[in-house]
Amino acid sequence: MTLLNVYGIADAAPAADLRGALGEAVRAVPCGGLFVLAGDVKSAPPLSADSLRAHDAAVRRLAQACAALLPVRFGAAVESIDLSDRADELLEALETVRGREQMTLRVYAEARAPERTSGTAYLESLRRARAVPEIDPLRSALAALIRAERTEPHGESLVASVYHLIDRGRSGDYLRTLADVPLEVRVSASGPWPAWSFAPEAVR
Amino acid sequence: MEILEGADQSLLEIIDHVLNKGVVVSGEAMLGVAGVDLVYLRLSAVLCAADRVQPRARKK
Repeated sequence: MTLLNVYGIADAAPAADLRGALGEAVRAVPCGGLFVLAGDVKSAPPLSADSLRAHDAAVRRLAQACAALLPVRFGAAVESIDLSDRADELLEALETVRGREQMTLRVYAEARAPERTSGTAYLESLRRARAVPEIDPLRSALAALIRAERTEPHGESLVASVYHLIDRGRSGDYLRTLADVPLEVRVSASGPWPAWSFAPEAVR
Repeated sequence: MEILEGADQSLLEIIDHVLNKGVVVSGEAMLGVAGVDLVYLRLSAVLCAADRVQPRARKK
């Protein structure tokens, strides 16, 4: 049986011939006004470090070939795909990522003491965890570059991941700016990435 | 400031971006799914929820 190994969702077919993670040709399958970028495979690729690197590389190639690409995570090898109930959400996300790429920050800090003195204080601590105020100086310094932000609170030691969408080609400026900002917490940066964290889950 | 850059970005970062439903754990962890390759992770590692990969792997 042939499966579609999905790499991304776009609103235009890429002009170039592109290869997927297994070297297979990537097709642009029309799907409710969108295009599913996928390769034909006999079975789902096994989960391994090499498979993950190959998926990452394939999505990077597609992201470069498309003005707007919503990456699809590893493991989406499907018999068929229907995006009709999510088309509006996906089209909106495509506009957000168009011409942009993602930078990823990991924010490390001492564990915050949980505040449970009252319901209000607890809710406030949750709000703070999502806001990641530790990197406010970075946000100020990078304000001219950041087009959108997503945060994901984690917990102890690695307290949060922060994802920034920037215009393509600005990652050098982003990293240079960030390196000059003194912070009380340790932050590691990586990128540019395809806009992984700004893509709704297209294939469930 | 620690900056991971270039084509040789750490596997950890690739795992977090490429896998779905990432779960962050501290310390050391072993990622083994469907009896295939194991990815050994140190530091604050990012693991995949096995439920996404395993059902598909069984289709083989």
